[in-house]
Amino acid sequence: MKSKIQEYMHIENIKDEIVPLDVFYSDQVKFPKIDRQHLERNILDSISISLFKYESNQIEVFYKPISRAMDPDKIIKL
Amino acid sequence: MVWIFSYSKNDRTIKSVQEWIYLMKKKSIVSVLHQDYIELIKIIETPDSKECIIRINEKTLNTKEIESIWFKGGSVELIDFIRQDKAKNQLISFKDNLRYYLSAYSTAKLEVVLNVLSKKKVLGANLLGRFNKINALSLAKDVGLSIPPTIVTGNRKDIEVFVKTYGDLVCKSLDLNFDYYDVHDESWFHSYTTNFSIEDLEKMPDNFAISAFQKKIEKKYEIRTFYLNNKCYSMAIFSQLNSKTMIDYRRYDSEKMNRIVPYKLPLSIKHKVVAFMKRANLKTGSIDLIKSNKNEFVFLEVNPIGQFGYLSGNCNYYLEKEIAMHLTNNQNEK
Repeated sequence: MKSKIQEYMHIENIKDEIVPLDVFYSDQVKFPKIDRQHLERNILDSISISLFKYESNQIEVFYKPISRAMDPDKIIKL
Repeated sequence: MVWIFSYSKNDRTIKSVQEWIYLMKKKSIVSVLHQDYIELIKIIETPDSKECIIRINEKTLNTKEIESIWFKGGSVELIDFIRQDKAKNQLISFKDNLRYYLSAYSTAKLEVVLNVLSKKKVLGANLLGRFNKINALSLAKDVGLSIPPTIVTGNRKDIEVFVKTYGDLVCKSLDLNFDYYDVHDESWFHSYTTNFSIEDLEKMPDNFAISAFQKKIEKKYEIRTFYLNNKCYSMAIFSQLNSKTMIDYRRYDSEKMNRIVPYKLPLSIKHKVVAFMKRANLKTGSIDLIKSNKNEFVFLEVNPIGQFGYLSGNCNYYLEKEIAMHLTNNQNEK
């Protein structure tokens, strides 16, 4: 059975023999859809340290509560 | 053996040096020209030795035999799918020459900016997470850390021999892990270190793209160490009892998270980790180690931009504060 990665490669016309094996062993991971409003509300109350490159509701588990003494205005948003 | 990289085989200076080398030491000389075809065949990295086999113009050579190298023009360029024209001895087109020029031009501009920035206080490496895992193993070995025997090859028979010698293997990336987000499918693809079984071997073609394999080390637990300013902040991850996380704990099992505890590295291992980071020229990074069933600490890899929030939060290390202090020259404040 062809992996999903091989399917992508064949669509893009990339030969199997140029891709190292670890790529073929990639895992497919699905995350629940992001509730952005909920997330943004959360960010107002916390310093967010995302552990992953992607966002999901699950990363809330890893959010650390901000010290209430911190002045949010001092956090410069670019 | 002396290797000389050059643009032309008719360079009189090179010829003269070659004659002197032969006259004085009777050393054999390998002359590698700019247009020569260099191909990586395999690398074997074990605790006791390192072998790198390459092929130049159909001649197979072991880098162990090299005593010295002189770059007099020319460069080490490996043939792969990017440089196929060269492998076929085709002339490089105007477009490819211009692309090469523009790539050097672009790199030069970047280097200027990086040079300016490097004068500042810098934490972290401008590597986008890149750090060659095989070179990291060599460095780790140099400072006295144990490493898993490793082979980088594109040949099935090499792996068969390696399995017979070392038993079960894992397959991992040479450098970055592969990442892809499929927008339509709303799913991520991410490559992890994976178990590589005899069944996998049977399904493989005789030749494939060069890939990295390591002896699978049976472990008691994994250790992730965050390094900053000569200090090691470690946690032990009991990932071995969960089939999802036993090969790579980053395959998080959100239903049943691994038990994680703060961990103090033995002083001798800590000194070796610090020595490794200094040799790797990294001021910070996350190091993955294993405590094996034989009670040996085995180095796996380093990530120069490794995530630390998980470690900091679970072990109460307040690493965010340490980094803030580092960036603001406020080292003594506690």
